[in-house]
Amino acid sequence: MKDVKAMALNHEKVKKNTPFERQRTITGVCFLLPTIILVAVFIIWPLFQVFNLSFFEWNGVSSTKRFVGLSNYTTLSDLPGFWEMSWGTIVYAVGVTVFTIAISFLVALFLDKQGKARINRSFMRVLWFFPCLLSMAVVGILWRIMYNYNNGVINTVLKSLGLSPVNWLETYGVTRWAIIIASVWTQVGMCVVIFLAGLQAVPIELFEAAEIDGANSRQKLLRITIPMMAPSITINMLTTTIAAFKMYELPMIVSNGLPGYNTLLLTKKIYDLGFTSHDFGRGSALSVVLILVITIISLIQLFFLRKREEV
Amino acid sequence: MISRKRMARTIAGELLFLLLTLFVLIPVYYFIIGAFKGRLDIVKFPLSINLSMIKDVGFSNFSYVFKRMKMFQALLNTGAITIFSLVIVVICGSLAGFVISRVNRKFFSAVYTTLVALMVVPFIGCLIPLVIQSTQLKTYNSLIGCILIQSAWNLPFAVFLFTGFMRALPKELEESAYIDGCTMIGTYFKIFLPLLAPVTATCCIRGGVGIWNDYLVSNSLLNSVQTPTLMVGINMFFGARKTEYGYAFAGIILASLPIVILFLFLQKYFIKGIVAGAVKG
Amino acid sequence: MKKMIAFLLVVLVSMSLFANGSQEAASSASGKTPVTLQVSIVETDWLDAWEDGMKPAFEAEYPWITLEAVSLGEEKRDYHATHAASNDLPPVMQTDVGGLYYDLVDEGILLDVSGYDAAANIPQSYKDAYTYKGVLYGLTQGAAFDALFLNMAILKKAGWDKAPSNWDEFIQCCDDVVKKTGKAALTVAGAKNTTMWMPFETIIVNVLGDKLGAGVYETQIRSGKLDIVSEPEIAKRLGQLAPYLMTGSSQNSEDDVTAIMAEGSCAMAIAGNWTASNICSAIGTASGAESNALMIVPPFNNAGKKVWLSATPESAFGLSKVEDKNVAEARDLFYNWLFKPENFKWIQNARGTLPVLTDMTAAQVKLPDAVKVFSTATQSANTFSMSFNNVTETVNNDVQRALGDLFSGNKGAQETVAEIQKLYSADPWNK
Repeated sequence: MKDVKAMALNHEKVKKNTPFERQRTITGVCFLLPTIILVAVFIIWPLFQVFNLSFFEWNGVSSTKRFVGLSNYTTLSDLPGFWEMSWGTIVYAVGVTVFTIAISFLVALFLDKQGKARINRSFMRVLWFFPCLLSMAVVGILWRIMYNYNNGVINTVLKSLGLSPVNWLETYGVTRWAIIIASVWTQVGMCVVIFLAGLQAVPIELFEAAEIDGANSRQKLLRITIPMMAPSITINMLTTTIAAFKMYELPMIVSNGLPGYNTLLLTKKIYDLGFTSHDFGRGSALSVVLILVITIISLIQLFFLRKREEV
Repeated sequence: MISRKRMARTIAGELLFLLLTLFVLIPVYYFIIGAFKGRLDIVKFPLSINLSMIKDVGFSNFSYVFKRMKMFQALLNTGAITIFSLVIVVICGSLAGFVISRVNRKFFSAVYTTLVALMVVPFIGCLIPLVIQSTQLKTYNSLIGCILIQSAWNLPFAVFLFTGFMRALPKELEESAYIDGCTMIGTYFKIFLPLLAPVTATCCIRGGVGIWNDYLVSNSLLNSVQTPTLMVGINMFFGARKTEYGYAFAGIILASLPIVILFLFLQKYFIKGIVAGAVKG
Repeated sequence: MKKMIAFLLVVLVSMSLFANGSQEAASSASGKTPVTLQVSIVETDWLDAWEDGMKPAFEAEYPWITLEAVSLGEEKRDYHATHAASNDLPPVMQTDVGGLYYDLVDEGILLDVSGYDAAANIPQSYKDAYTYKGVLYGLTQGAAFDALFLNMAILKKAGWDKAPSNWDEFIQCCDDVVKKTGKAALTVAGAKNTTMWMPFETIIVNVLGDKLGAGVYETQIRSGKLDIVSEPEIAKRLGQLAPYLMTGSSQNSEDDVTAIMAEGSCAMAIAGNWTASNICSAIGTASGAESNALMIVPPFNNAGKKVWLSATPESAFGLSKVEDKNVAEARDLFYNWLFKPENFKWIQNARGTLPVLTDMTAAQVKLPDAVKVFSTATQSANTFSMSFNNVTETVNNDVQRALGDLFSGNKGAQETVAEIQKLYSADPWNK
């Protein structure tokens, strides 16, 4: 297999300098140009500004900035609750990713056509996707009301079942999970769609062959479905992790970062530093650090998942 | 025997699944009935609704929201931002994906890596530089400025999707086209474009939901009086001292209707037409 | 069919692209150039009063001016911050003390309003709070007091026919409510920093106030020098108070407090006077009659001592720099119009707060009965200014966080007081 790939690569290397290939490259650059321009102007340039700002002290309004060197970075850890926030962000991201992937995978298996359907599946699909259509701010408000201790929906249900109400938003350890549940709720639908697409792509012949060999359903799941789904798992993992690290509205609205700094995510802190403390320099420094962290984590993920896919 | 046992298990599974679905939908149910209830009823009886509650309120929340939010103008503005951004994203993204997946040059894969890396940038950090930049570019307070920013920030993921999709398409497709004397542009339009429906649908839904529901960009780059948008309008009901839940819920329902309809239209493409590599990143 | 729909959609949407830019220039009879004036002063409390009363009234008086209210949600600051960066602040806007608004004054964006007629009828102490480097940059929309709201129907069941009058009685009353009625004693809107600070700050000042004298608390906390750790009474009282706060209080919005009082599941609430009409009518709902609602100065004083009460101007209305002469003229007209008692009463009465304009007549002020009683009571109390005038917004939020841990029982009073001391000493208002 490898050799064939290498041959193909060599083959293309030889071809690279033909007029045909050169013309293809030129057309290619033209095709890419709009994307490159848009991204350069609206993402890379502001990003550069952020990087630049992280060395200055600036309140966002004043026309003058004061150069402070690296001190915005070195004083980051002096922020009250900095380590608690950082740890909280990581737990949140990991929790959201793991649970979103697990739940949406199971749901996708259920919603897949190959299962023996009793309830109209395409209707169910729409229902499961519905939460994804709401904006984060709206979802935040909804869950805030759901979790309210005194007259929230969840505690009302618990009380009517004769259970004792849970103090969702004020208990160390519990609030974190409350936030994760709310986030998973919004993310699952999107992942289900991708998983469903992946499931459709698994050739039925494989299952038939396995059935002839006498494989039971668990073996089929582990040996055929999951390996064949590796690409969808990769894409879902990656997008969910990135989305989780970038999330700021939902925890801000649902729990206001309480208890302590437990659910105050770093992205929200970036927002606070800029818009509450008017300290855009430090906010930018935190942005830069966060971007680096997400990039490293995504790269590690990509590396391991790709490896899995190739097996 | 076995089949009966299996059937029992299937039914149990179905029931469990149905229960889970219902549980997932509780918040949605909550705000839909909330739109027809008064302020106090929403808080006091979160999950129940009866005729006497509706009788006082009816559709008055909706008509109020319609009036206050400048609903028609807001819908047009948000619609324009969403549609034009998606058009740009799909065109640029698919062209870029086509080139990256089909032309084997170091430069292109470098562009691809950069774009994928840019997916991780949190928007909130770049907000103030973007606002300042848009005043310099004279795109401040225009839909065009919003559209450009939205398309740019959605492009990395679109390129990621399109590239993955097109990489999985067989090489022979292209080669036969070249043999027939097609140019690269011709190949793109004749061979690839018709195949892109499923991935385009995915891209539109993922991007569309985000753009439609955006609050941050339109709140900071548009003047909410001259160019109202949906989410900024809804936000008005969440006051510092008093939250008008009934109005907010009615606003949410009105604002999400179009996107639900879009999803209903596009969803068959998600599932039915998707080919093997649709999700190959 | 599908293509038709798509085509229609595109046409409709493209129309919207152009529809926004062209503001219709309706010629007016007065020969003035039509002006659209943007204001960002409207909140949910008086949204209806604005749309149905103020806006039509002003536009009838000045037909060439069209008023447009920028919607203000909970976070007006991010709107102001981003729009300051693009030089597009509304000509008339809400301002607060400190932070962004001081920066805007520094840049000359917020104007000095002391020369306007509007400024004549605002009490001097409120003007002082909104004066920065000699610039009066805002006229307040109301006076903010903290108040204790009581549901007397519940208190009667607990054996209290009249409201408690000092700290020991207050704690005894809380205890009686919990033990005799099984209901929660006290709640507070902990999700908002201003209201969360209220019980905390009122305790501090009632303990230290008599020793320090008027105005000293503010100066000390502003410079980060206030010492709350070495006064054990503060931690002791906080520790006494914490168990009586209803579970969930640190996550309550002011709206949630209203809902709780309407359910009748809690006997008392500490809240700002700006929510008075909401809470009083909520207590009325719970107990059957609004006369059961009582609003008093929080009795956190030692027995026999005069009570200390926080009194501070609320958010204010300020003016921002405008290049266009016509808009500037419209802005000035509107500003002076707004602060005339017959117009300002719209805002005043929609919120049911205490009047701030000195030339307002009694007939123009509609107050719930409970608020009227409270209003007279405030005059016999010592006053101090609220947290948001004395600590930076960051400290304001971080202390709120620490108090949340205390009130939800996650941390002890000693520990919390030490943490709070550290927080504001590290980042004082006056650097």
